[in-house]
Amino acid sequence: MTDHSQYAETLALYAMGALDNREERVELEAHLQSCVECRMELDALRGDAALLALSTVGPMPPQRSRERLLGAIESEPRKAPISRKFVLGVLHPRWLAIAPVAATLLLAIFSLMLWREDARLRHNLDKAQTTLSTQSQQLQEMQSIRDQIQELQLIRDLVKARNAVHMTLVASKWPAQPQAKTIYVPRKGLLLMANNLQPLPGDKVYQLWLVPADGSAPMSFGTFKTDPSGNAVMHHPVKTDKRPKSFAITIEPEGGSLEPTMPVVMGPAG
Amino acid sequence: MISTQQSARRIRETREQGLVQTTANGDARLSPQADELCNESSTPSQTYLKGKRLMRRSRTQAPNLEDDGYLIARMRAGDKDAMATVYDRYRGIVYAVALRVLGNTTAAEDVLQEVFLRLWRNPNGFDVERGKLPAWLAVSARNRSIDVLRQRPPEDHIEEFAISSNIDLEDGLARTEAVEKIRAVISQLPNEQRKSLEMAYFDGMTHSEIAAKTGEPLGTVKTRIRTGLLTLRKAFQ
Repeated sequence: MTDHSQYAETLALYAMGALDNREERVELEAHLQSCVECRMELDALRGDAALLALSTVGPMPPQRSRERLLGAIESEPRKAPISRKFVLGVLHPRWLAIAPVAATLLLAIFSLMLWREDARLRHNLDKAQTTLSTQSQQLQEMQSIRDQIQELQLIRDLVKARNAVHMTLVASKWPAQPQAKTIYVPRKGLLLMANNLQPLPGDKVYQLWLVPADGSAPMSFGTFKTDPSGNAVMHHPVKTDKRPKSFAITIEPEGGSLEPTMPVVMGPAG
Repeated sequence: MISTQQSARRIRETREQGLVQTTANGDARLSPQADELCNESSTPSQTYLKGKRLMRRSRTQAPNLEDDGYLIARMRAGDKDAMATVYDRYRGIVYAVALRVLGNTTAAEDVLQEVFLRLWRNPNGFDVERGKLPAWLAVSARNRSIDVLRQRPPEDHIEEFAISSNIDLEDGLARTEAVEKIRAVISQLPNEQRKSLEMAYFDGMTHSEIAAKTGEPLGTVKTRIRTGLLTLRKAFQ
């Protein structure tokens, strides 16, 4: 990183035209090409040096100098003078003196507009980032749900496949026992897998009930029938977030019932 | 506090700025503003200060056809009278600088001629918005004089420079005061510092030449020149 102070003294010499060290001059001129700050300081130093010129006083030049100059001007090829009316259109220097102030004012207004625009854009950017973050989170949740659904579909397809080999292993001294397994996720779904259930007549169905932990009435979670081997798989969409105390299966007329009909043919183990 | 003699001179200059009018029969009389000025002012100092206020007010109310910027605009249009006015106004400073550098009246007259001719040939070389004409002419005279001293061909342009906005060079009286202040500041610089500045600026000597002549180390010469310039700047901030 270049330090401007290292050029301070050579810059003053350069402004006076008194820097005769070629290497220093080349280095300084290279630096000036890229450094606005040093170029401004150079202009200021030249302005300081100009005060030396302005300090000189002496005799007035002889009258012949004036005549010589005006004579030379007469013989100078110049474009024809334009009308005074046109010249009057030139801005008066006193007004020109206001120009830097006006320019500064305009610059300040422009800067203020830029600042406000910047603040507005930053606000919009923050909002966009917040929205993006929320949407990203929702996308992750949806992805997770989709993964779970796919997994459930795979399980269901596996269990319901026509060529699936269903085999229930029990203690060798005991006959095959009816059993059912439930997988329940509040607000998402329920999967039931049953084996060795007794096939029902055509006007009867099995109905699954959720027995809530809060003691309220049992809720129907759908009806199902078994295949000839007594196996069944049922997927039931769930909108409730009831916590289950247990699940129960009853035998109901075709179409299901609003309330379970006793007895409960399958309940929680133990 | 200004003396009665100074006040009289300044009042005279005030009159020259247009506060004296000529009647139909050729008699001179004071303008209403000047009349008011003389009636209400009790001391020469008050009269002078009020006159300056009136002059400033008149400048802000109507364009001054004698302003440098306006003269330059007329020169761009080929108006020779404007050139003559500029010459009459600034011939002294240009000639003084050339004479200070060259020490020879003939050579100084040549530089005087060159500087004004260059302005006439290319009035656009002086940027009204960026500079002050007397300073531009003085620097131009100095640079051309150094070229003559060093037997170098003249440069086509002079470098840009920035003079403190606190220095009023356009107004004749203010310019005189500014020059007096500049001279006072320079005279108060340490002797060796002032000499180093003058050798570099008016004699066109490089810092090595100054060091060789004074027997001072190069670093000392560098420091003196920079310090001297900054002291001048500080005096007008």
